[in-house]
Amino acid sequence: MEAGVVTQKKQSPRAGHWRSARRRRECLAFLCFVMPNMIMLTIWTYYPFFRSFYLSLTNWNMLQPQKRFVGFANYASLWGSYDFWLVMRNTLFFTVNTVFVKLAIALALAVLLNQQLVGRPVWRAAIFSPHITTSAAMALVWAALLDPNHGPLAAVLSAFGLHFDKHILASTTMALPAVMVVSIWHGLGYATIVFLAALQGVSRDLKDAAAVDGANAWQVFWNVSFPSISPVTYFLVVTGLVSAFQTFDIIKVMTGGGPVLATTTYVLYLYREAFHYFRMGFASAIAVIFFVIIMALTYLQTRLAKRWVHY
Amino acid sequence: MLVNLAAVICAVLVGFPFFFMISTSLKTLEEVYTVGLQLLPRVPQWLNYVEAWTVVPFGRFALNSIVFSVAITVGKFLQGVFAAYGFARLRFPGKGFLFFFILLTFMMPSQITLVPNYILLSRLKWINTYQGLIVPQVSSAFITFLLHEHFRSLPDELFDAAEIDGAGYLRQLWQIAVPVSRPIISTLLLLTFVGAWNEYLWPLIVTNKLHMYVLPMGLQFLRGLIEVPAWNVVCAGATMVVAPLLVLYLLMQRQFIEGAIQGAIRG
Repeated sequence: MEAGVVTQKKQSPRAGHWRSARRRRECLAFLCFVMPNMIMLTIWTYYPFFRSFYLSLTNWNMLQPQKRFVGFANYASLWGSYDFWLVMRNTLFFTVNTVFVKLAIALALAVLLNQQLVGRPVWRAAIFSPHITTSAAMALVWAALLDPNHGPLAAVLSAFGLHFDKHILASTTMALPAVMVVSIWHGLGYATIVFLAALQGVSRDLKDAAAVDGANAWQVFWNVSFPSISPVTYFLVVTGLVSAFQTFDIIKVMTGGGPVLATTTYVLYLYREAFHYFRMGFASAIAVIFFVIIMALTYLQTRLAKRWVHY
Repeated sequence: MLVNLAAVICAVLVGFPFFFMISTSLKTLEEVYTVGLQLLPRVPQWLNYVEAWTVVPFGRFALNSIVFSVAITVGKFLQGVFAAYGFARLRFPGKGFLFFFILLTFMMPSQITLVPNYILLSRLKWINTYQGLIVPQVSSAFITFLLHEHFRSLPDELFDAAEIDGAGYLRQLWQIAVPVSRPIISTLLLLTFVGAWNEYLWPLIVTNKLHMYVLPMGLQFLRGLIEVPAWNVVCAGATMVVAPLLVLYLLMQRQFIEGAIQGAIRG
């Protein structure tokens, strides 16, 4: 009885409200405001997302008319493909090394910038600047910089008695590390200023207390500062892995994925299959696996965060 | 003292490619291909910039880049600001579900939509057109999400007075919500614009005619013109692509850096 009365009391003004012209106007306004965004996302994100799954089950090549349903044949041929596993290995090597080297340097830089410095905003701004510049343009500048015939790198190395007989970017062993350097350079500033912001938020009291207990600067860093910034470190590792995994511009410009397949990472592989060979079905299977890997990374993130990160 | 020196060295190392780019852009081709460390050109060759601008239709690339970046920024912003306001401040049955529908797109990386979107564009005969470059790129949940959070945090009192005065939702949005959110909006506009200016993969797929190239693609074309690259001319081109960004960065450094930090600390 009581409960019935209560719900009735709650509902009746709401129901009345519903009928009011003002309420209808609000709903109409809501639809007008929200629909453009929702329609665009439906057409350009949802629809192609699901279509990729479907296309990955066909043998469609855009240069040929017929499109046949082939089941999981594309996935099977990827599994058995030498190229695919080579690309996976390149991508893993590129992604993991880029992220960890970048974050190690960024953390060191952030610690440095967190000291008593003259003109800190200037140094901070300088270190962040590569991040906002066009990677496809700066990759060209780097290609010139690494040129063995004249570039400053060649000059510096030859001062030490080292020289390359061919272009670094034409070497199957050196090209991938070279594009990694450029990628690290491009993303370093972002990680640095995020680390710096986190370090500036570490409690003074905690650090002072540790110092009073006789910890030296190094111990204070490892036992106080580093654990307190772990959420940010974690964030940078996960987003760094995802974005390194998606790297395209720098590699495409500097090596185009070569020599042979030495610098072909995942997105370049997808690009080549889809837009050079126009094997849309096969490329869609590559894209679907790409999605699965990103999802797996995200899932790992939520699981591992609970265990490692001190919030 | 020592830490200051270390900071200077690091900043110089990170900044070196920019210095190299500008210095190379002013060298003669002989100087470019001289072995040995020559940091500065003997006589600055300003004509390299003229050459970069004239051997390829650089003006056209620049125009395309401006159209592309401005249209995407405006389109993304308008879509985002309306949707964010609707979700944050208007009532609608099942609103939570619709918002979830938008958020779910964060899980769909743009790479998985490339192939089907390309197919759709070629069906529409939109390859090598501005609408092909722009329209698919305008769809975004990012601005909706960030502004939604922000609009929700605004106090109701701000809007109450306007509502009593009989201001409609449009006026509440443009005369109250947007002006009080100016800092976050300018950061979002800036980051969106820079992101579009730097975009390479999408224009690479959608255009294959020179007159539709945007700047990053035009640069690759300039580099590929000659077998032995004229790095001085290429660097002059690269400088012209990057310079607007560096100027923007000098003027609005705080927005760039705060934007990056906020995204990370909140994320």
